Amino acid sequence: MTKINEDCNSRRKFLDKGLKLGLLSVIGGAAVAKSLEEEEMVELMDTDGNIVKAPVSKIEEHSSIKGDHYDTREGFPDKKFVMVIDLARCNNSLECQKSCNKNHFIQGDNAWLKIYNMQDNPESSPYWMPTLCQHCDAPACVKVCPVDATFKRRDGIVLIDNERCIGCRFCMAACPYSVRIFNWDQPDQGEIKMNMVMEHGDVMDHNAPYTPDYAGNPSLKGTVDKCDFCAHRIDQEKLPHCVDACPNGVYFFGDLYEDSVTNGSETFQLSKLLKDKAGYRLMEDLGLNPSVYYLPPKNRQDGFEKGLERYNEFESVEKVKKS
Amino acid sequence: MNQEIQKEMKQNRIRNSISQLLCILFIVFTNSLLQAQTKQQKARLSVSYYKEGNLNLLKASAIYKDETQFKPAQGLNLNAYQVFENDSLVLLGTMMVNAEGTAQIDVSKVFENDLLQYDFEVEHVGSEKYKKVSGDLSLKVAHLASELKPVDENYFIEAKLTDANNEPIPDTELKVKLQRFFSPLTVGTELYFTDENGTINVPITTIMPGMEGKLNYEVILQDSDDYGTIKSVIQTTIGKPIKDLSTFDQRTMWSPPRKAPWVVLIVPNILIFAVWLTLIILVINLFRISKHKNKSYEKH
Amino acid sequence: MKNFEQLTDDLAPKKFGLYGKLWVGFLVIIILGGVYAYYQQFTKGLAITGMRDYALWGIYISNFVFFVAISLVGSLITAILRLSGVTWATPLTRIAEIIAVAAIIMGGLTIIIDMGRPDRIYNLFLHGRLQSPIVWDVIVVTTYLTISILLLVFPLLPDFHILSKKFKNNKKLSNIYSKLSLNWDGNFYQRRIYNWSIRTLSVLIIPVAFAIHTVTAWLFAATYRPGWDSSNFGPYFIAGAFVAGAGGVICVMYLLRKFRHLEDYITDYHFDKMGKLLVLLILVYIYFNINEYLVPLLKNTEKEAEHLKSLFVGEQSFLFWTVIFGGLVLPATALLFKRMRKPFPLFIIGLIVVIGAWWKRFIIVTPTLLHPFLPIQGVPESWRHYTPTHLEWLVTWGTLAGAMLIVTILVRYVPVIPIHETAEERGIVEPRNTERNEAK
Repeated sequence: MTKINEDCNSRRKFLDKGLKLGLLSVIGGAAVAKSLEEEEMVELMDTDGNIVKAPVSKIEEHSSIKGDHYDTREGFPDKKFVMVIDLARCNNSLECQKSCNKNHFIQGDNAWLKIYNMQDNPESSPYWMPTLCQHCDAPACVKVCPVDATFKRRDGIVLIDNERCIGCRFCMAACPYSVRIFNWDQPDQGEIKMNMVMEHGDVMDHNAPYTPDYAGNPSLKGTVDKCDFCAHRIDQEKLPHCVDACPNGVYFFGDLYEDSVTNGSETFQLSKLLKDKAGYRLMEDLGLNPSVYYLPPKNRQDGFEKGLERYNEFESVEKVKKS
Repeated sequence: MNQEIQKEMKQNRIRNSISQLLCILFIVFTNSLLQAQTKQQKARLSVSYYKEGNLNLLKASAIYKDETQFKPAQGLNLNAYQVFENDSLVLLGTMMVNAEGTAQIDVSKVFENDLLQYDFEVEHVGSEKYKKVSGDLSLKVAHLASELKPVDENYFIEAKLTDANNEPIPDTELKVKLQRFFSPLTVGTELYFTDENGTINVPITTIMPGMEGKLNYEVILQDSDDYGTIKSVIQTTIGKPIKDLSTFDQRTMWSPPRKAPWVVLIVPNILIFAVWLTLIILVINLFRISKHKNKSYEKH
Repeated sequence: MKNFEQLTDDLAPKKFGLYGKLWVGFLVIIILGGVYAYYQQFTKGLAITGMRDYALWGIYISNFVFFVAISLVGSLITAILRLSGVTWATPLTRIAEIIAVAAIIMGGLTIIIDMGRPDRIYNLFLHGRLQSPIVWDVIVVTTYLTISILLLVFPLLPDFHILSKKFKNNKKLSNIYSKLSLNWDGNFYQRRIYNWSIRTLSVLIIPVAFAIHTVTAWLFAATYRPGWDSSNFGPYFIAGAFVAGAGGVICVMYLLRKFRHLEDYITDYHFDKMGKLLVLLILVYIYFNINEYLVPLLKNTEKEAEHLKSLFVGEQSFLFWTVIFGGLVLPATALLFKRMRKPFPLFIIGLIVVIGAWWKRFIIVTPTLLHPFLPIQGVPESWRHYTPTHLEWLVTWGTLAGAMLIVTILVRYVPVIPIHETAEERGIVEPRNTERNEAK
């Protein structure tokens, strides 16, 4: 009897164990299979030559308004880009600077877009003044460049070809607005670019050849950089990053020839806006004809003090922390 | 011996329970691992309709809350259906939400049936990233016709909003805008209300500049509960032609090297030529001196 | 009265003694240090210097301006004085030309050292823009270098010929000198070419010298910055250049006189004359400085005020006043006294003037950059100041040592005082085997 019992028991045990094992393997297998299951991935290369994989859904196809004859040194014909900065709305939120730094992979100590704490005279109120390259129509920087590395386009944008720049810094000496920065060493853009690829889809294919349209992609040691009016975004009919990022609608961008500027939500007729609000330009008397207009800091919404909390006199670029 | 068997049976029972317990624990553990890896997000889906000319788009917008921020529900796969009276669904197609959180699909074919009302449903069946979610839309057909009317020296934009039976739709907000590169510019006031004839009449007070005089005006019925968004575009040529005012073609001090002003190209080159010609002569003189060796010093 | 033999003995190049060799060794060590420091810069970038986005030009550029300034002495002594018929300066013409050549070579190198991407220097030729003052500078520097070399070479031909004859017992040396003299034998045709060439060079070098330093001045004056935006800059720089150059010549002539025992040729009279010349040049330069600093002070516009304040009483004030008083006013005052125009005191004054000239150029270049139109915000506090780093100093010293090495090498192999001209002036006739009249 014992023997039969034992046999029965052992069979039961076997079945029991087998079932459990089977169940386990199914579940375990499913778990393993799920972790392996991924979206279709695409390979990209970062500036250090590392291959990075990103899901296809994150890579976007963008339509282009560039014709076949687009020449990066000539730009978009029949357009002239201008910017209007409404100083009455700026409260130093610094979102513009953060977005510009991030999207141009800026890793130096000097941001291309700086928000100055200004006070014109002791009697009037201090105010916040965002300053970026003014893309002057008679640019002092372009005049003095010995190798034609920085150039003025038909559409008004002034760009830098950092594959030609010899790093003499004459353009930096000539610019009265102090908007040009120098790459004193090779900036480490690898980490920040990787983050961009993973987080957003809105990043250039890293295998695409360098173009002055997208300044900072990459930045090279011993060359000069500055705001590029996001020439690389115009192609996709998108506004510059600073215009997009500003929560207060401070920046307006548009085409002088179309007499229209927009901050993404409000669109104005440029000539009327400048007339009504007495738009002016910085250092007009130097005769450089900048493309950036300022609206006076009158009737400010938030006053000046709110921005002081975020004011850092000695820092304009938050460095990406190395993981 | 019975005692031995009983002992053994008891031990077996214990072993069984332990292994059962371990199995359960394993299953629970793996399940929670799976859950942790891909927490299903609940996307908020909204559906809208957009018509412009012959283009009929069913649009979807999807975002989800990631801790504190709202993010676009990128990669969300959506099925678009038309819902009929008998609650039957006809699959119109699929679309995927992009990086900006939007998706769209052309539903022009649907309107060939000439119904009074169209019902749509957009559904996400559920995936590892997103929970199942759906949204619907009820739509009535409306027509928006617009044209440019020159009156004496001025221009007016006239637009008429009618429904499927060609009856006017009064008291409805319409916007009139001028198409510009980044964003359209409002013409006149923000809103115009259609009158009892379903029309609006907007004067064009400023003649804006346009490429070769081309100005494209838009009359828009924005986000109507019944009719969706309808845009009617008027292509005109009443604009001021745009002139290229850039100095790109001129010879200036900030031009590329070949387009330098004539003075800057000519004068330095003349100076350089003159000076270096002299220097070359001087170098030649050195050679001449070298050649004139052992000559008699007396003048002959 | 010396005879020809003694003359040539005194002026012929001699081998270096112990001091000479030690000096060369010392210079080589400094140069090697400079090369090492430059290698660091070439690989790591200009970040190893103290320059940043505001002080974007530092001691490399002021060093460059200094070299260009010193090089003008060639045109001053060789050309201007010669053309004005000033004969006491004749023994100094070779020294002046040697300094000019050495300075302009190192000036060219220094500007390359300051470039962020020297590997792309060919872009200057492929894509150069004639609208840019830098391109003008490159052209004039090259031109001036060529002229200076020619002005050095031509007068050497008769001298090498003399040396070739002198060392006729040493076949090899004689042959070398003979070749270097380009078969010069003083015949009519050669003399005719020679005279024309020297006169042409002397005339040509003056406008080119003025051009080179005016264009260098325009690198600053072509910008809008307060402190640089001055119509005075061209003449201001040239006046300063002559001061620096004259000081340089005084130093070198003193050392050569001492180490080569040339007391008969570079006499106290020469020092006295150079001293007087230096006073004159310093006074002219002080006049330009008064114009340069007093006029903006009278107007005191907002931007100029900031800059002047930092020079007169602020961060740069110690350096500024030391340079003005110690480098210009005191030397000029001292030189009014005959005792200070004796060789040794004059040498010390010359040294002070040259060092003052180097620091004066620093005062011109960097402080203006630290007072831009818009306030300096959003960058580290250290960017509001400029302190050259050790590596930067090493490179700079390397270039200075390089200039001194070129001078030393030329002085070793080339007669430092033109033999034939000295002989002519003293009426010392070269003995000949056949009867010939020396054509003067």
